Amino acid sequence: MEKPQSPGDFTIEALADLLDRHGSNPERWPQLQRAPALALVQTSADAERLLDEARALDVALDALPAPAMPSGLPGQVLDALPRDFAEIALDWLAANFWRPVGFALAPLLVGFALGNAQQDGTGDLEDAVTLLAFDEVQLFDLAENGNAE
Amino acid sequence: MARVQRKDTAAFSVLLGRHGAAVHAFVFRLTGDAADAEDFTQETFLRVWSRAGTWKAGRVKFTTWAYRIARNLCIDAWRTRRGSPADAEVDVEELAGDAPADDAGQTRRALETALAALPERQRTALVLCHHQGWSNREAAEMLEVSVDALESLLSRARRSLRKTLAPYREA
Repeated sequence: MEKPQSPGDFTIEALADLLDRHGSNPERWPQLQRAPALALVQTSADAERLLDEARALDVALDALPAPAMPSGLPGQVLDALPRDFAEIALDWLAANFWRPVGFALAPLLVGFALGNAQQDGTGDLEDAVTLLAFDEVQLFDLAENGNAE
Repeated sequence: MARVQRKDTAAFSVLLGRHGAAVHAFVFRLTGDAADAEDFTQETFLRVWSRAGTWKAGRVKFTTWAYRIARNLCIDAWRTRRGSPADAEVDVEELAGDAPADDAGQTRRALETALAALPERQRTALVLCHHQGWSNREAAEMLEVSVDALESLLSRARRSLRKTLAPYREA
């Protein structure tokens, strides 16, 4: 395990290397180097200048703008997902179900409407005549069968 | 991620909500172009969806994997367009030499130019560690290099950018 460096061991070159590798934020520095590096900054004007330069770069980098992700992007991604055949078929049916059903029901509805429109009251009389005719046929059959026996 | 591997769109939507903005910011910082950032973020997540089966839990973190996909998309685009910043080694000292009097906007533009001129790996290393907040070890995994190699990339990037900023600081 690496031993913590004492402030006396920590050189300007080591600080420059630390800042190059980790930036100016001491929280990102390796723990063992943090205390001696900060101690050096307290005691050396050159070390302080190095830290100031590193900070200036970090502040300038932080100031670079970056646009937020467009709010519609997640929706676009989800819409663009490739889907399997079953999903596509279900979606098609959901979107187009009224068409085959509509085509199937249309003649039925037209026939029903036409049938209703043509009823003018003579239907009942025609039915009665037809039933009467059946009754006569039945009576005629009974008479004939009775004679034969 | 296991649910995404089973093609669960609700789980994918959660994943997108959790990591979408960070991947978008990462891609924007690499490309410097809002339209590219949008396109490559979308493509990154479409690849996450279609290649979810190849991701192995425990071998690499999801974020590492997703950032690698995003970065590779940027690199492919640069190669296709032949404008690869990795190939365009701009002389940073030259950029710094004719610095105008200090002004926040000018400093920012100079820094953006210098950042765009960095070799791709240096810029990616800096974006991952500085802007995205990854540790050096995590960024090294994303770039598939050793921590030492990553820190060497960071050192070169920071030294270049400090040279660019020096005249503005003096002004």
